[in-house]
Amino acid sequence: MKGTPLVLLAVLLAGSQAVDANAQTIAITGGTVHPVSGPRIDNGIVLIENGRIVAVGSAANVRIGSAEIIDATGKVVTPGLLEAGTQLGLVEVGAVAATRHGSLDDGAVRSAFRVSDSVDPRSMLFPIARADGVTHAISAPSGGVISGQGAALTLLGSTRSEVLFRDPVALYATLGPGAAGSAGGSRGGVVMELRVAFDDARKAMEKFTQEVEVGVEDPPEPISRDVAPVAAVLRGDMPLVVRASGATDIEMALELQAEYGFRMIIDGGEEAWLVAAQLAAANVPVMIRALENRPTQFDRLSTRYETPGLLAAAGVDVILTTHSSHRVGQVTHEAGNAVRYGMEWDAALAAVTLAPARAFGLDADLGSLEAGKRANVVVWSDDPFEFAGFAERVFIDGKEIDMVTRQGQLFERYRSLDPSN
Amino acid sequence: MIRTIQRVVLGTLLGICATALMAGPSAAQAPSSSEVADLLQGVPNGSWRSTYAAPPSRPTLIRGATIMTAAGEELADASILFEDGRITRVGSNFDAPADAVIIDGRGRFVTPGLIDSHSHIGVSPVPEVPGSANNNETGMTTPQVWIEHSIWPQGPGFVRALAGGATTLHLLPGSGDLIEGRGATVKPVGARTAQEMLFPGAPRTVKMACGENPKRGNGFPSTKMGNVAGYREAFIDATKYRNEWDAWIANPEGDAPDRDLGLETLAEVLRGNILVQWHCYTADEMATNLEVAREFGFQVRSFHHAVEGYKIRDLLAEAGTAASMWSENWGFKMEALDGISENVALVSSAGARAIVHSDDDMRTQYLNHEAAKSMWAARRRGMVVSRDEALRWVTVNPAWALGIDDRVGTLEAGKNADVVLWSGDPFSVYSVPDQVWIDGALRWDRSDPAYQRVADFELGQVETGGAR
Repeated sequence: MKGTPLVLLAVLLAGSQAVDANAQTIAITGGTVHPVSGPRIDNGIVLIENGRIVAVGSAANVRIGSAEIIDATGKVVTPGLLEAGTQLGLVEVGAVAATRHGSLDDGAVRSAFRVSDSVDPRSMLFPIARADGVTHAISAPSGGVISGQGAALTLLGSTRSEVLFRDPVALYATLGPGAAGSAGGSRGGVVMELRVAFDDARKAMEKFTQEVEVGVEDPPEPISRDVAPVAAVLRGDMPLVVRASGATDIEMALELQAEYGFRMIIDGGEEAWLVAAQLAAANVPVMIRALENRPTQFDRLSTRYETPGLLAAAGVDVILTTHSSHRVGQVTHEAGNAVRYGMEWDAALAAVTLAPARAFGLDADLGSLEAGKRANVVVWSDDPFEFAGFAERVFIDGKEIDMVTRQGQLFERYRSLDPSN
Repeated sequence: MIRTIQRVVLGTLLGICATALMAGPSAAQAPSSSEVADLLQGVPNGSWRSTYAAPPSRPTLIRGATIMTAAGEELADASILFEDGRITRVGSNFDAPADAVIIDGRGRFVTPGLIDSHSHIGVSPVPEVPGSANNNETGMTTPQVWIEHSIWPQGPGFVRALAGGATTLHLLPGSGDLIEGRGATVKPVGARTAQEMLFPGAPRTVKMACGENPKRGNGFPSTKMGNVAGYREAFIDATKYRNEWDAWIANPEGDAPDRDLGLETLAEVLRGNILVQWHCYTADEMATNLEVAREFGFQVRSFHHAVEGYKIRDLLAEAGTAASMWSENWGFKMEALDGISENVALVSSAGARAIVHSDDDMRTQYLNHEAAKSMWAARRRGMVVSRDEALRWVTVNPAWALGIDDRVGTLEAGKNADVVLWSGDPFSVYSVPDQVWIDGALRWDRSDPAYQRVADFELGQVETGGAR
């Protein structure tokens, strides 16, 4: 797996942007607006123009002119949800191997693997996710010590370039027993593999810089495709998502971060509450399920429901996820359960919108209802965390989606058992 | 073993037992009849009994609460009294006995204890390690195994289920085989032995499975038709076995037929004494399996998972077969591809008994949420679903599937006092069980560590920061 220095440069390029050509002006009026970036606005207005939000405020303060009015009276208005822990577009039917493309079979270090090369923009899961108010997702690779590079997706579009919002968005690694099988069978073996990867990347960066600055007679030594993404992480171009469940492995992640210096997001984090202060001090966000309190493995015996609330109270940025692809709409249930066990409601909403957008560097466009951001807006029938709360109208880049899903079509077909159906 | 049974039980009793069996309940020799029944069920000599005993409890009155009975009514500002393990009154304006514990339920809700018709807690337990995995016996048909012989009573999942308001769990083996073995209905209480958890008097059940799990080749069937042939062959054998035993009971001369553990279970299915719980996803396979049941003359008590139950809800209603379903879980394999969130309500609307089950030690902790999701998924489509109907999906309907609906599943006088006091509306995501009683005894109290049992495994291993 040899490449050229261009590989390194390619990593730096921003991903393609979803196309929006909606010239309409739309005003969503009358609803209880949760901008996330600021306090709740009763009887608020979200004004959308050309796929962007141009104003958010109270009815008294926003002039809507001749905009098309979407009446959200009695409804709840939030940013589109960002589900940061999915494999959307990488898996269609779990048990059908031919529809699974999120992981390479073997090797400890698979940094060069980019899920964007696997993503299927025609996945039936996209319409299902967006009809539940999830307008954007991060699709991540799995397996090995370094799994590869994830991508941020806009869940509307029919081509790869339309759905790829940011590619790559992060590099993924795993610490602890989950990756030991790829690293000789030991937790320490995993760390060893990571150190080798970081050291190789450091050396390659130093050598490359030297060769470019000083100049050499021979062509510069090619940088391995697997080293370049790690170098991009060390340069701060994208975060490293470290999957770690146990407090012991999270502490190790923090040590590595301190030693090598990179932006890090902990994913899993079942025992993160035990090291909340350290995570807060290191400014490391934690991506976690709220619906988990079981000691499923020996590395996470202290898993508990209160973790999202405890982390938030300690000042850690919490990202809530379903860690699923077929049930990403259930991220609202995750948020509701986080609140049930102590998280503030506003923090839980941020945990499915602005917090993941910030952690993955997407907050210039996503995650809140603010002028200048992309117009990803959901009108909910009720509190979105409650079971009575459904996404009624969903806007992606200012365009209202049609809410048609395969499941909805099945329901309509069997709503009556009349044989003429 | 066979000879022992013959000598001890049959030699002394069967001469009159046969008469008793034929004569029905009026026969004077009823005890003998039960001895025979025990033998046929494979529990002779008083073996394999529940040794569960509810701890002593004081009469308890909850007043001023919203009481969701699961029996057709939701009573505002109402009271419930339970004494000696039973519910004695539900309604308003009555006084408690002098020694009663009185609980102010204002702003809170009361439901029956929730019942999960499909659980693997303690048999496929956490931590998920091979040494603790005791759920799947290997073989094309394994009706000879009983899940009660696999239970780890100290499994950390039990107390979590209890803390979520579940008071009865149906533990099932499988589903890798065509016929998996017997299930067991248990109470998620602290116990040293499996027998101390068994729901006294609950009928035994058998788990069967169709579809992709057993259809995996390598000594197992490779096709759906292979699955069906496997069931039919097993029940042909079971019919013969049952006939041999019934003939011998009618005229007990010579040695009793040899016992066969597997056929014993299936013969009891044919007699209607063991309730069939059939793991099956698709509409076509459920319909096919109803025909298998018709061929051999038994009833399918409940299909499990029934992801396409909505497509054949009329057939389920007609057969009197319940469907235990997820509120939302689909797409993980081909037979789960057509799962829709309106499934439960559609099945319910056809008059079939709809059940929301977990098959999972997370979902079992919030069956109320799962029922609420299914209720709202249907209401969103304009379907009419009452709160009482949705509550029945996780209470009296699963109780029926397990044959215990005469004892649990509703808040009515005379029923076992399996009661949950919720901090708020149990159909709100934000509510939690404040207190949970089983048979009138307080088993979980959110604010009292004395009623927050920690599993043996977790002692000294888990940091809780002072709370679970």
